[in-house]
Amino acid sequence: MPMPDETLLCALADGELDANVAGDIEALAERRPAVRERIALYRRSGDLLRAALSEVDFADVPRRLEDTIDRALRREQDRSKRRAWIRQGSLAAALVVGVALGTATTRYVEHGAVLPRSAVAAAMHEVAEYHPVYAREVEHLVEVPASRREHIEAWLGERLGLAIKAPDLGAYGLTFRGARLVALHDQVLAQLMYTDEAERRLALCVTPLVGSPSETIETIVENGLKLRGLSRGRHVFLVVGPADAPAIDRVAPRLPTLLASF
Amino acid sequence: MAIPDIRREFVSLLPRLRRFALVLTGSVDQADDLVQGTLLRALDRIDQCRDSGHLDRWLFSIQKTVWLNTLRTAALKRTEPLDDYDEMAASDGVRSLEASVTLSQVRAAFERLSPDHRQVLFLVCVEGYSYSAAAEFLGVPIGTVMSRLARGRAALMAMMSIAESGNVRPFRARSPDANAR
Repeated sequence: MPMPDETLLCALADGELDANVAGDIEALAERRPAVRERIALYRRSGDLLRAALSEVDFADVPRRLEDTIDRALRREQDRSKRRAWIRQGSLAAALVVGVALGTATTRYVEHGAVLPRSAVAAAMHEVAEYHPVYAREVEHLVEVPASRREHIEAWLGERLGLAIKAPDLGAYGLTFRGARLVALHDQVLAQLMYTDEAERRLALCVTPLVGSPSETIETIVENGLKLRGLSRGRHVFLVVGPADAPAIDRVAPRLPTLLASF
Repeated sequence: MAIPDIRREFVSLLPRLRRFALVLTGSVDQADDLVQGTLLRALDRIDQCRDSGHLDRWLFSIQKTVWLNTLRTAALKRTEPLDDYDEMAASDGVRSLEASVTLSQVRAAFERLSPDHRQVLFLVCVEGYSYSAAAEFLGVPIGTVMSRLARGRAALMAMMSIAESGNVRPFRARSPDANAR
């Protein structure tokens, strides 16, 4: 029998060969020391790798990794409680609507309060409150400047668990100025700030979806601002700016693909 | 799985996730950042986690995806040319291995292998994946797994033989930003 191919000798060392082929090679190995030595060498390389990459050597886990698990599980517990609350409210509200209102219009009420809007709308209302505050800034318009685009993508992407892009929107008449990380209750919101030709501030934002998805674009106009947004996967994507900025309507349909790699 | 059970399972897998992250990134500095990104993505899909029968393989799969996304985001083409050592091993085959080689030399040599060789050697020799499971995980034919194993082992042992002789270049961790546009 000629010298077996190295891949077969490896497969024998790994116990992956068919019994008949393994038997033939082992018989050959008994007669030819060179074959025997190679098989032993491959077995030894496996033993050395297992010893050199022992799990014990990686057991000194940084605290931040366990903290990441704990924070995420606390958010999931909060979400579960909210979902349970909404489910209970919907059942009660169905009776209230039918008896108290007696109209075809469905308006859910729970404990005297209107139930939450969609998750996308809720996020947009939050953004509408703080956008004018940041948009007024001149020297501190952003936290990290546009010159550090790669860092921005890596930093915000890691915080959101999503491959974030800070897109070049020159075709829409927008110039990238930089980014900021905003706390939205206990969630992260990535804010990418742009200016148009009139130096007006527009922001593209990404935040985790908390609630039901909404893959059709929603629009809010309030206090001179226009916001348009939608969800894709586990995140909300939205744009905010002056109500008469044409770029908002042009950018809105492409928000998820502009801002993330899926 | 209840929340306390999920926490216990995730924490118990952290050492193995860190180890695989080092295999993927080739960099101690980046490995824990990759694990953090993996945890965020996995826990964002906690319903899938509950349904997963093999949590470790599910997490490894996510980790591989997160790393690939990191490379794409950094616009770094990770098809590394063969290291000099890989080329030499291809032509010279396996060398004899001195009995006195140290585990630190083994690890240093392993970290110098190409990503393809590191991943397949890790999955099969360290994590105990079968050839078919490794092929499915990596998305390549079994024949590719077999040839990478043989070439990877040959490259590894060639480097350790050179380590014995003292002719070892210092290892430099590569950052995704290193060659970014």
